[in-house]
Amino acid sequence: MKKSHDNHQRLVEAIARGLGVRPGNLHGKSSQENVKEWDSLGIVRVVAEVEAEFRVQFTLLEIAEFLNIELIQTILAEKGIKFAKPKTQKRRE
Amino acid sequence: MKQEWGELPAIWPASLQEKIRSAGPSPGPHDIRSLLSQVRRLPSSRKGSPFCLSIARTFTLETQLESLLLSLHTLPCQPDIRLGPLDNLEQTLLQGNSSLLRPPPDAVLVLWRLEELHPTLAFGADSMTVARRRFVGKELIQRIKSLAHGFTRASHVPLFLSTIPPLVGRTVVSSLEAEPESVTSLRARANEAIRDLCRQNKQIHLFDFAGWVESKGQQVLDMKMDLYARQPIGSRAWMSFGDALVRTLRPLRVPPAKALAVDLDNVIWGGVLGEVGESGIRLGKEFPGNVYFRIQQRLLELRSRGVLLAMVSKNNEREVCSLFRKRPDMPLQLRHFSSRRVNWAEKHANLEEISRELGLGLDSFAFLDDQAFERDQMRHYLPQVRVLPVQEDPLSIVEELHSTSIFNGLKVGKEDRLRAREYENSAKRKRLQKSSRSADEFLRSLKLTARVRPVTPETVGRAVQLLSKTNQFNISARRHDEAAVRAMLSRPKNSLLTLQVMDRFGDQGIVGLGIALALEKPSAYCIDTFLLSCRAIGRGAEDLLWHELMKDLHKKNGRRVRMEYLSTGRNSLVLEFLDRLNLKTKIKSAARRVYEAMLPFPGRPPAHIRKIP
Repeated sequence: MKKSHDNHQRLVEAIARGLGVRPGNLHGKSSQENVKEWDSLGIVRVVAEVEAEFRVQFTLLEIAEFLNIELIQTILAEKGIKFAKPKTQKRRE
Repeated sequence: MKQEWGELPAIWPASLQEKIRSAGPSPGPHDIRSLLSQVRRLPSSRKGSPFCLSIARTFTLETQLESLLLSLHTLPCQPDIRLGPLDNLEQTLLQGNSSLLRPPPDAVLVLWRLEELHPTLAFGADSMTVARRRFVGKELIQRIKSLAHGFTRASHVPLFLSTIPPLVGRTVVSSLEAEPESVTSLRARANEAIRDLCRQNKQIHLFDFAGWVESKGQQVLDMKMDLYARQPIGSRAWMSFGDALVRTLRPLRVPPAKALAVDLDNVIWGGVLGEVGESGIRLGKEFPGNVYFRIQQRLLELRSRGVLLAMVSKNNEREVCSLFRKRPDMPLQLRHFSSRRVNWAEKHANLEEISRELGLGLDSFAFLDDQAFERDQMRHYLPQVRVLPVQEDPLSIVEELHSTSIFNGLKVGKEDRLRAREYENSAKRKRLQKSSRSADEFLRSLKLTARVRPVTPETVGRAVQLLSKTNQFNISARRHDEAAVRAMLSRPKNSLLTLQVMDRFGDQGIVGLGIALALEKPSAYCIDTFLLSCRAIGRGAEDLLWHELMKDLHKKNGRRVRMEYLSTGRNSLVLEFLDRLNLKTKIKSAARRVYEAMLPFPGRPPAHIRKIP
């Protein structure tokens, strides 16, 4: 069983792999605004990496919200992935 | 999804091969990247030569680029992929200065879909009249043909056209499909037009994208990512797609295997004959005998495509022959095997004997055996032999025989289909030779005739095939591609001749090729290529081709001929012939010899071969 704090690290690493950046360069507020690799193709890679890492499938509407790490973590939490400090950023309706 | 990774390069370390196989059929992006970085760290000597693939496409491939690179590495090669801009097919393929074509790549691949090729047809066909659908269907085919023809006028690089896959996420509605000119039927017609282009033009080859989707199922396409990023191939299918592509491209780099040595027990029938007896083996129309029946049918299909079958089995030969005689219902019969070794000797030793008997190099053989021990032993003793990756489960044998690409050439030609019969004829010739009192009597009794003709647009494909496949009787083993041969043909002073041989047992087709290139120095020529298929060696046909080539050069005002022999480690056979010609040796080392001759060349062609126009 993966520990919940590991899951955050796993997520950051999966996103870093998808974007081709170092995990240390990412933080909770990392997003399209401040990571230049976070473009549309980067998101496709991030989706593939995160889906493979957590063995989940995202819907199209969920992918549309891959705007920053916190939102991705929230989406994963809704899919039952446990995180040490659940992020509560409100998703757009 | 079935395990992919059919053939991994033998020059890769076993540990890396194991890692790749254990990654499973659909590794995630992280695994793909990790494997790619391990392959990239291999020394150059284990990676093969550079290979550049340019891809013109109508959809996103950037995200699966690493999986494509990893797949291409298995050719083996050091791959470089150039992606054209999305959509601009005409601009990409027809403009000589396109970045995709300059400098010329090793191959160009076109990946297209109906969604982008003709969006109106893809998404609005239901609201069109039948006449309108027919019209746009014709329009689509016209566009495909114009692109293909335009490309072949602008470039000599091999072009791989993909078939058009089904629409992503489109559910087939039977009532609509029953209507005339349905999208499915128009797509099928376009794909047939693509196949026609491949049949008609030797420069154009097929990548069956649609066939891949159909064999793997619609789940390999991902509508979600298609809508999000126009990336239709699902990430779990990236490696499978890459594998399908590599199977198509492999014949560009690796000559296809020409013969398959097969084990018998638990391969072409169920059970061990020596233990269960003739009545106990499993073979028939019902399970489990139907599995082995299917294996036999598939082997027979391969044979009809020109793959020679050889029997290599640890068994009692009398029992095996008796079983074949009593089971005329089996698809495979003894006559279908060009050679057999049924005894208790080691299989690698038997295979070496078969290789000598058939006159085929060991690297022309594939080996099929259900026993891991036998496969490992073959890999160890004869690493040149390509061992089919099967397991004891006979299903894995059926699947491998259907999916393997090691017997695939870029095209299946007339000579390929004739090959199996030709090797049977070769065995008859050997028997005649044994019964003849002298070599002269044998050669005369063969009633040999031969035709030497310049290479033409119709025979250029066969010439390229000989260049890529001939190993033993080949002075230089230069592997020119079709573009290079066409360029040579475009200079009238060059001489490119093919040799066709026939005898009382049949027509062997085109079996020899001589290429002499005019040098800048007036009246001087160099013999770039002189080769003869191994199945035609030893009957004087090579002498005839040589004399005809010299005669042609003399006619073209040639005075001096230079020829270079480059040792490949496998072509020493040709030295005996070169010695016989009494050429002047200018340079002589183990790796290279340079000869010279003056024209007209003395001597006469062999009298026992009748030359026909």
